[in-house]
Amino acid sequence: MAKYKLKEGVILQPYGVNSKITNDNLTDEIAELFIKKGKASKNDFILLKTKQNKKKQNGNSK
Amino acid sequence: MAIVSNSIDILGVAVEPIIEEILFQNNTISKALVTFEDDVKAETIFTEADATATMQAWTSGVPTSSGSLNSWDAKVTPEKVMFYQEFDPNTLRFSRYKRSMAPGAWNTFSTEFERVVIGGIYANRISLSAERNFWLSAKSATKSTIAGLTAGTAQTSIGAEEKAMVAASLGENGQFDGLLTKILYNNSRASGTAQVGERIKVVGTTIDASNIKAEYGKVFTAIPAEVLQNGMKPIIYAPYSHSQLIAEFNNNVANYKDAFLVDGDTYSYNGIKIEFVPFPEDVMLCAKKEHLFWVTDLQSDYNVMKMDYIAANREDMFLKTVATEGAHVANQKFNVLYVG
Repeated sequence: MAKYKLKEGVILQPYGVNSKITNDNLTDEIAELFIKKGKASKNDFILLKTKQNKKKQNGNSK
Repeated sequence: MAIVSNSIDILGVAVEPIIEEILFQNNTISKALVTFEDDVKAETIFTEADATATMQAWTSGVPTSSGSLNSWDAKVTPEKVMFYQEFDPNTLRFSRYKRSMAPGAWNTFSTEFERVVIGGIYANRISLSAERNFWLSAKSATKSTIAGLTAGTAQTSIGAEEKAMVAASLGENGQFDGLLTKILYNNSRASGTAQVGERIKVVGTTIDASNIKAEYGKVFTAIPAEVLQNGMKPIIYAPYSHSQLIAEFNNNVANYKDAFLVDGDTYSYNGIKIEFVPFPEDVMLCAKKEHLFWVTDLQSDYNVMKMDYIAANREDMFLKTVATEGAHVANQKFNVLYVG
């Protein structure tokens, strides 16, 4: 399951006005690359947590 | 698509020039920035060859064969494509265009509309589309294949930046694989197997006026020395915006001005000519133009637009342009591709 999802209304144009990344062509690899290279901000994304992470977080919170 | 016309009845005087949208010029064709391979109807063979020569110790006895002699063919068929739309000239009967319609109820065709909108703007749009697709087109199947490749830093792997650039920027109308797609993934090799292209991969960054010289430097140093020492010099193909970034760079008094030389419309970096084409931002290609092929049946096909009534008993009309187009890249291991 993908970790990253673009927030509603966010469209990335990492290579100029004729480029486009939406949730249809976004992958985790692309999201992480663009954050690392400054072509996108972490604030552009919703970080989806996997079930495993949720369990761990629940465990930690107890 | 019908004519969309928001017109008003002319009661006074219409300003004479029609304000046209501003379009880029198709420099790839007008300045012949690549090699045009005309008369390719179908399945044209491009042959490449290389060899290695190995010096070995002399022997008076049985010699050992050493070295290699290689030649391979790439089969290229340009894709047949068309531009087609229908329109009803009667839509313009109440607009400024009525002034250029011949008298008589039969006549609703405006010569002014034909000259300015069809022969001017629409024809330019077709030309630009041909150019943009040459550089940027990618079949959806090829895009999916590239998306499925594992990114890596090795020259034999697709780069993470290259994968992202393909996902974000390549595709256009998707009728064939354009030049950037072909550079990244093709079967133009001895084995005939489709795999990652043999380009020299340069990992880049977001380019602005402050780092443009350093980024061009990365491309320049990646050019194999033999490319610069043999025959015609290569060309750096760059996005349109770089002309502005170069001007900004040169405007800074602290910068060394001889790196980027600008003489009218001619730009160069360290003596290598820069040509601006519809590339995605942060993407550059350095190659000899004889390595890059625009493959087509007849280059002038894009100059022919057929316009006629849709049927003898109808008065709405059609516009149709038919052409073939494809891209091919040769001598792959000598071409430098920069992706930021």
